[in-house]
Amino acid sequence: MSHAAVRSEPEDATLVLAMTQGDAAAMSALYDRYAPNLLGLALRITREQADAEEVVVDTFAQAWRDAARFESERGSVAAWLATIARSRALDTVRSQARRGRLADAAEAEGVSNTAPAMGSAFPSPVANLLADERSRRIRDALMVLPDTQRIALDLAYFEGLSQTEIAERLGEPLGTIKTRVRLGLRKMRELLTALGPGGAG
Amino acid sequence: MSDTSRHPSHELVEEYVLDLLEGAERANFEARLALDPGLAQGVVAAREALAASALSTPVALPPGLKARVMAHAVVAPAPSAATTETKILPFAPTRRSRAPLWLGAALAASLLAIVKLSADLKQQRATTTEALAAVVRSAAVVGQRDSMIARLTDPSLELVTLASTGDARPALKVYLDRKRRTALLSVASLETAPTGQAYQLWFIVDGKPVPSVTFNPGTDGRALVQDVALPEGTVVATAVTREPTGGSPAPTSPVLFVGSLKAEK
Repeated sequence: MSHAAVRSEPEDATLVLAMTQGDAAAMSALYDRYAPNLLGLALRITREQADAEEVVVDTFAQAWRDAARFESERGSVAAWLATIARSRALDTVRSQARRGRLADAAEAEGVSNTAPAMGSAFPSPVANLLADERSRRIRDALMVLPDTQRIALDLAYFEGLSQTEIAERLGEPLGTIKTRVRLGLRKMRELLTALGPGGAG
Repeated sequence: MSDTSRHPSHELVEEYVLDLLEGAERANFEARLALDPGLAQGVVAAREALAASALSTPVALPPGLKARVMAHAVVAPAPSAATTETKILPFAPTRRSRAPLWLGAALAASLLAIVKLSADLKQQRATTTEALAAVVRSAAVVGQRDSMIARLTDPSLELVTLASTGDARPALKVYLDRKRRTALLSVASLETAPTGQAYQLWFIVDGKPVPSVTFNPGTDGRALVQDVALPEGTVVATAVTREPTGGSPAPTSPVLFVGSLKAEK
């Protein structure tokens, strides 16, 4: 994650609290912290710059509207924003009925069975990743994940596929996919925990 | 709360945070999640890991995006302000009922008749009144039963059978009437709670347990609780715990029974 993750969570939560009072400056600060990461996430899912930007716009609009519903005991602000952005991005892809087209394209490019996967660097069209030490460390740590597990997580998280769909896509038994998803995410947690406080958030 | 770390739900944390659980499986998980701090902790940790990974690829922001974000978001009213608007309804005069006119006439006629016959009926009055009261009582009971039968056979009614999380095999059923926002709880073969304790029903709304009625079966193991109010929001599951008599605002003991609801349309 960018400079966002090294900030303390109470500050993030304070910004969200201020947003509930209509404080636009708080929203601006939150944008500065997380927008680069959210745009990266949105790009990974939508694969189109214009769609990804729209997802970021929608994500902050929803965060503004729903700020009062944020509960810090349920997770960090970063995780909250990521959840919103992922949901919005998947909605965008689905609403455009692009899933099939993207899957075909991905298959043709061999994307499903190779990179990019969870935590790996996405070959962004803008291709100018920010030089951020923490993000790099997270990505490096996650490269330890076995490819099979990363791909299963990737398809579930970034493409929003069900486990049955993942099994069909990869031609693997459903039970195998369930195991990969479970073990992959557990391993991811361990790797990020090993990075130290805030590693996962 | 006791140690619930070995509950099978803990094996589903990863699938839950990836939105891979569906239907009853998801509802059951969320019901347990609302009542199991250890499970909630696992979910938070898994979500944080996913978020850290998903957000680990920042990209440069295009010029103008921030302006769009700020314009789009801040133009909308803040949530706290938006939800407090009070609707002012136009004043409408109360429609006068015609009932008092005919009722008054009927009462007057009855009064005259009663006066005329009062002497003859004096001896019979006590007996008649008593019989009438008995009829009214019987009618009320029949009416209640009819009402309950009608409600229980309403096709829109949703039956939720609460499964035991342990070895016990009592039968707990909740009949939900979403239209009227009420429920009926039926219990059979449930042992009486220890002295100073009672069973408490919970509705799971937005991932949180909302306290409902307390109950205790009789020596026959049965209990029937009618007109249980459904809380605001979308109820996704119900659960039962054992709490101090009078109930608790939040669960203080493990979930004994849990049942998921169909998705609300």
